Amino acid sequence: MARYLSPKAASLVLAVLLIVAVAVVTLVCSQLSGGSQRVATDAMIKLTIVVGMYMFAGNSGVLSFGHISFLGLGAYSAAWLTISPSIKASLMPGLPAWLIALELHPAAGTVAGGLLASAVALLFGLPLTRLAGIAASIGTFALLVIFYATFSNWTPVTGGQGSLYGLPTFTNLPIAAGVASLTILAAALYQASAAGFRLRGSREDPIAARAVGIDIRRERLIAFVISAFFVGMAGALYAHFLTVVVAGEFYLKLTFITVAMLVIGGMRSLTGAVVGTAFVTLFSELLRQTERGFDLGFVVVGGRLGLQEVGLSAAMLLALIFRPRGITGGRELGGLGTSR
Amino acid sequence: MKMRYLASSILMAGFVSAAQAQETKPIIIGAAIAQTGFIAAYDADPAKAAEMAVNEINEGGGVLGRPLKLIYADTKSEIPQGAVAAMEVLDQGADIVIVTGDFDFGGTAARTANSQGKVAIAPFAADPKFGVEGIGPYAFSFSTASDTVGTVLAEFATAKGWKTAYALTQTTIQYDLSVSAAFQARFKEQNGDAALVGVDTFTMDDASIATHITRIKALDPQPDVLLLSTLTPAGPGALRQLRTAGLTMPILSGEDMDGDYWLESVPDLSNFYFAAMGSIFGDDPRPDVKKFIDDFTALHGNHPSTAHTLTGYSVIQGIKVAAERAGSIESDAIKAEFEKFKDEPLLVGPTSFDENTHINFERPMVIMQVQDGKHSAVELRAPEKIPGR
Repeated sequence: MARYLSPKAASLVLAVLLIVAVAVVTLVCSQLSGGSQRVATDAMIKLTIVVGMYMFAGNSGVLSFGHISFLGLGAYSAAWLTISPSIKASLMPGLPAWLIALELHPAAGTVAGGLLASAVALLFGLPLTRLAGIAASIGTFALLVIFYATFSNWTPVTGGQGSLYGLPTFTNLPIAAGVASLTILAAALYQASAAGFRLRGSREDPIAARAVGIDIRRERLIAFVISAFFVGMAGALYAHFLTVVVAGEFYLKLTFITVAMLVIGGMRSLTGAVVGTAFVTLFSELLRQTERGFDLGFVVVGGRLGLQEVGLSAAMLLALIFRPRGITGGRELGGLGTSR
Repeated sequence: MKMRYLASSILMAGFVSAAQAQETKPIIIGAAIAQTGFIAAYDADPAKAAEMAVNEINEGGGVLGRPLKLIYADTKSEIPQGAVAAMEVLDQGADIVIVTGDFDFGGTAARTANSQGKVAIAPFAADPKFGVEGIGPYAFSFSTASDTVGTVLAEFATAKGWKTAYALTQTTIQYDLSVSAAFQARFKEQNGDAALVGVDTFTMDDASIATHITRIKALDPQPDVLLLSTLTPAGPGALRQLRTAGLTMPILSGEDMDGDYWLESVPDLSNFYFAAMGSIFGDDPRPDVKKFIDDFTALHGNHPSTAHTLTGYSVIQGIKVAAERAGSIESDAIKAEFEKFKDEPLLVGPTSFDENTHINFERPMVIMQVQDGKHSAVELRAPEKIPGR
């Protein structure tokens, strides 16, 4: 079927299929208990992060370890813009007076979080996109370290090591799923666009791409800025989900888990980003449930606390050994879209 | 004890009619605490103490004729996971939620319970923000506030006749900062501004505090007493460096230096004092605390790791008192009864709350000392005047 569709149409069909999958999961989970809904909401936010990361990493071939700093920027934007002025004045006295006085709706804070992340991505992307290959990945890692150090030490503005509280509750399952769907649509449209093709061309063969006149730096920068926008929005949603912002959240652990989702699913396709998120979420949730022990009727299996971490790492190792290109192997759902 | 409870509940289930069954449904207390990760070490003993209280209360007929039941969900010492753990215990019908005793690590679970209109109790969160301001109207801490710790230490130092003090503070967590701030304020109130001869700070990353020590040694005359507001693992290292450098003056610390698990790293420690919610070494001046520590030691084979353990027991005691006065386990009823607590005699000490204060300030603490590597209780000391209150 795919070969009769234009790349744009195929990409749109792909996006619709993936969004339908997200919608079905949302509908099913909305009937479940509060605890399961929280897990599903958390998964939708992670999906937004992973698909956001994919827009840059998947299309450029440069794995990014720095996107969690954009998540942090989005979360801190939400804190700066939506916490009530009285709490802000005591928690973050270093903010300018006009910002302390400001109290926006969480939705506005979410968009602002995306925009701030994009602006910062533009600034840092200018030097970062000069780098190639492994150096570029290490550069993004440096970005993560810089922002973590800033978040955890710029106490008058970020609260330092302490937590920023008083964020209104805003993120629920439908909102998180909605933003995840929007991100999937954007990723599909981007990868079917001329800019997306140029960037993927540079991923496959940088020399040939340059020879046909592609400015790799420019294309990477475009993808970096767009992907930061969505990860920034996810950060604001995450802040309104936890209703607290702590610097320690935006560092290695979340970086590891999101990169793992992307790599396990297959970082060269949008389907891979979605499948990887679903797989890792389901698998780690399954392990977490097993940790508490369960009753098979004839035999009671005792709980083993810590199983989640061990099992997840083992699964990642197995996936990397047996499917180094991820579960999807870089292919899109039903051959739709444009992985090659 | 557990078996007896099991047997009695089976018997009870056998005899009561269906109409009464509703009444004897257990009151579920959901503990959304860390069972794995680095916070688990702090949460474990208070949870064991809560279990002891639950068993004792159930043997005595329960609360409102209903047995208590503790259920658990692991926060994995992760801030986001706290919310999931809280939802899980609420899904299983928890009437009241117990969370990790820390503003950051227990906060997410407590906020989640609050958003569902359920009472959330942190047994030992000492940050006064844990309550109405930082969490919500249904959040309570059964701990003694960090301001009280600093005040009691300052008043103890003054009573000892120590005229000048130096404050060395680790800045990693809010608790040590608040203890130090209250100590400095109160010591200056009592002995004049000049009595505080110096202040300095260090962080978790400072493996060596040699420069700090040099600054203290440069003082002439030397301060009578040193406040070392710090926590493990950095605290014992700092203490050892101070003593090795020949600083022999008395050193004061907050509850974070409670327990003897770190004592081997500072050989033959003497002249070291700290304030704690009780003595875990079997010599607490209060007989009921002493009995509890003996029972705990007999049951678990070792004394509690820190006096925070007392709060776990007290939380269950407090729930029983409030529920029986209210005649209900509904959140609003419990909250209202908690807010009427005025020097309620719980194991950890007299406990008071009001509409805005959901943590304890006016509660005596036990001053502990270490001499020749041995812990002992010095005295029970109530704060006279807490700065800023």
